[in-house]
Amino acid sequence: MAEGSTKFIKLKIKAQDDTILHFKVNPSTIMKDIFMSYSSKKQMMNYKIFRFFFDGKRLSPKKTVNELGLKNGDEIDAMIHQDGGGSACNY
Amino acid sequence: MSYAIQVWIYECCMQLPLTLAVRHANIIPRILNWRVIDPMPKFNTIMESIFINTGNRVSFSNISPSPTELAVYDLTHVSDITPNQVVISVVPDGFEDFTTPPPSNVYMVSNLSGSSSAQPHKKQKFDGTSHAAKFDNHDMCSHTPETVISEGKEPLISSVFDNPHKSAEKECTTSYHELTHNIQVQSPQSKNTEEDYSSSQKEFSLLRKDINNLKDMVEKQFVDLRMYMQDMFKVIFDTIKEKKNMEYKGPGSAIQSSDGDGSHNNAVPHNTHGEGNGSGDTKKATTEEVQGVHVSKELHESDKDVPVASNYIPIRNSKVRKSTSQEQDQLESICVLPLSAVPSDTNTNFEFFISDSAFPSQISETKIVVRTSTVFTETPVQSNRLPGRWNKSPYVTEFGSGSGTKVVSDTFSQIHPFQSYFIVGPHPFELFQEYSVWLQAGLLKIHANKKTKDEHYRKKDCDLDQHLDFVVAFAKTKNWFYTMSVAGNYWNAEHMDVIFYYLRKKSKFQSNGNPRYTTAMCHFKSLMDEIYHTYKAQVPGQNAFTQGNSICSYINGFGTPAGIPWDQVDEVYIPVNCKEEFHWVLAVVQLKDRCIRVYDSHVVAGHNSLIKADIAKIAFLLPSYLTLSGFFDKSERVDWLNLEEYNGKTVQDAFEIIFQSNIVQQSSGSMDCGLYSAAYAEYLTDGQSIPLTNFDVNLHRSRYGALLWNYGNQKASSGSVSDNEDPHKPRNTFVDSDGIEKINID
Repeated sequence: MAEGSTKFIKLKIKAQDDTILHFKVNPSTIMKDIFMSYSSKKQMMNYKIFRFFFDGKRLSPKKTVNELGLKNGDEIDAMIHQDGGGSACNY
Repeated sequence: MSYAIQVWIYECCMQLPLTLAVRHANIIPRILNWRVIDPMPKFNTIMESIFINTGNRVSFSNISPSPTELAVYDLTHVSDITPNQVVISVVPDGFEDFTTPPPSNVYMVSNLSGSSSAQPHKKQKFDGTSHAAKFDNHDMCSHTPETVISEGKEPLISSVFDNPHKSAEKECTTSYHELTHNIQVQSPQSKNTEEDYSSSQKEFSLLRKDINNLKDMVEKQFVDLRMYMQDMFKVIFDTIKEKKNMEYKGPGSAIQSSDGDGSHNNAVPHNTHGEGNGSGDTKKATTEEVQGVHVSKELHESDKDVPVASNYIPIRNSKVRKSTSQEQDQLESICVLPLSAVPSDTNTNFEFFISDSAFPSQISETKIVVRTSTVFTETPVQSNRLPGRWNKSPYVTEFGSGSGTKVVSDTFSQIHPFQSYFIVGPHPFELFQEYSVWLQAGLLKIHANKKTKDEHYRKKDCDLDQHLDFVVAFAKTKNWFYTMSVAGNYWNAEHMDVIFYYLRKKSKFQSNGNPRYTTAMCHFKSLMDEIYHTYKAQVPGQNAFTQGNSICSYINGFGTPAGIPWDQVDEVYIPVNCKEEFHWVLAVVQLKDRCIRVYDSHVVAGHNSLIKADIAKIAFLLPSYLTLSGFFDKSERVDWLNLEEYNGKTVQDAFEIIFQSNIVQQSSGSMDCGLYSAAYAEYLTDGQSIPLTNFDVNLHRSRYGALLWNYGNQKASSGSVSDNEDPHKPRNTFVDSDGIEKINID
């Protein structure tokens, strides 16, 4: 294993309200672990309630940090899932 | 390595001290003929023996030899010789091609006759000159007619030099006759090959005449040349005698004496030695060797004085080693051309050259070409190695019988799923049909009762054939398409983002290059909500306007796939999710009009005030962020602040909110507001007016689903990945302080 890959990578996950959680992860960490950790910190039981974006692109939870090319200090946006059906409350 | 070079030098140099290597055989890989005595010769020794001690004048025609020599010898008629003779003369001289035997012996015969008499090393010297010139020609040969011609002159010149030996005048004539005879022999051959060319017969008759003329001319010239050569010999040998203080009876006797030393080839006398060798070119080499040995011995006895014949060696040497510039400099200094007093004349004016050199079928010519490109090319052309046909997997991956295999084009050029199918039609109903069949497969039987659940398919049928990547969202399972296409299911932000992403892409990559609009992600409105909340709540320690970096990125086109800076467009389509209403509306920011148009698909619900409150957050914050992001500074396209709508307005003045009426409405409780918002946006992007009625919900639900499904499948099977040409969001500098709580995940 190359020397650089054993280093930890520091990531930030930024919520809509601009609160940031910092993560220190292994490059081989699967994103799902990070997302689940983030969700539990946010008192959410299901990580799927968030959608995670980096540079506007959806991050696949199945891939690792390295596969997605995330670098040290990268900031991930977490967005809360939104639904809309159409004025369900008014009828 | 050193051995190889050494032997090679020996093979190609006429003269080197015998302390380095001796010849012990005469076989055709000629490099094997030599046995190395001194494996590590001193550099100085070689330099002195080859390069430095070259005080005698020898004419070398290095780079452009033949015109000079021609001029010198006034041999304009020699240029009559066709390339046939060129070939004949060039090939047999033993330095060129070791793999192919010389095709004709004529030149060798002449050489034989020349060497059968006791030859002085003078003669060899001039031979060497001609060889050197030939080598140079090959080095620089571009195989234009001129170069061929110049090569053609070499043999004659050398033969001319062969002849004027003081005791070899008879042989001179005989060799010359042989040459001319050779020319005459060759001419009919070339005639045969030349029948394709028009007017060749005439030219050849002329050529023969010319050759006969040439014969006479050269014979005349010989008188002068002989005189001249003899003078030269006298001069040179006088100087040698003076230098070495040796008795010199004559060059021929000198050679015989050197042979008599027994150091070379078992003391064979020169004459018999020359005749004893079977092939002409090896014989030539050996005679040269004899010269070299002889002179080097003389050198030895006379404290390494400059030998006469060593003058040639540098040229050959440098040839063999692909002469460096230094050596060439030396060469030029060496090349004292004692005969180059006459300016060069017009030796290329003969009309035969062009036609003759155009002979395609001369085998020997081909040889010359090959050798030039392989052996004498200084900088070999780098060849691009491409994998050949054999470089394939032995396992067959494509079967002709498989009907299921799709032929996929190599490049997937479709930019967005709506490329050829507009919302107004015509619709690809076959695709819709295929899509609905696919969508129905594997549905849970009781899925209607499970409306609130996410799962609509049996587990084994749930997965998609391929991972469909829509950049801003992934369609992981069939449920994604089910939600999109089956009535009664509400769309979530993923669906909206995907459609708005492709609309944005449609704008960015449209043909005229001037995007009229861009779109935002659902995230935009959420951010605005949060910022507005921060602003209103006056949360201590949080500044609403520093919080809006993401908004500024949006406005500048960063952080959004296929993003376009807002100053490049007129309209921005924003999908707005009203959380309280569980409702999607479309907000269109019209930058030029400084207003936000709201397209609500369910006006009858009477939630206008609530929606207006939501949009008002955007309308209120937008001017500030447009200012913050430098939007108004970019006035190249539109001078925003001088527009009528912006006059008198400050940052504090919110954008005007206009509710658009007279648009097609959804039915209550149909959960179609997401579809309607997207359809509104697509109508507007196409420049169409939104219809008042006649909007087939099911058609458009399956349209979006089918187009995205088709597009995603094609993209996945072609292996394409969306171009990542979007500028990155400017990265914040990461402050790594210990105070920040970090979550470690291993």
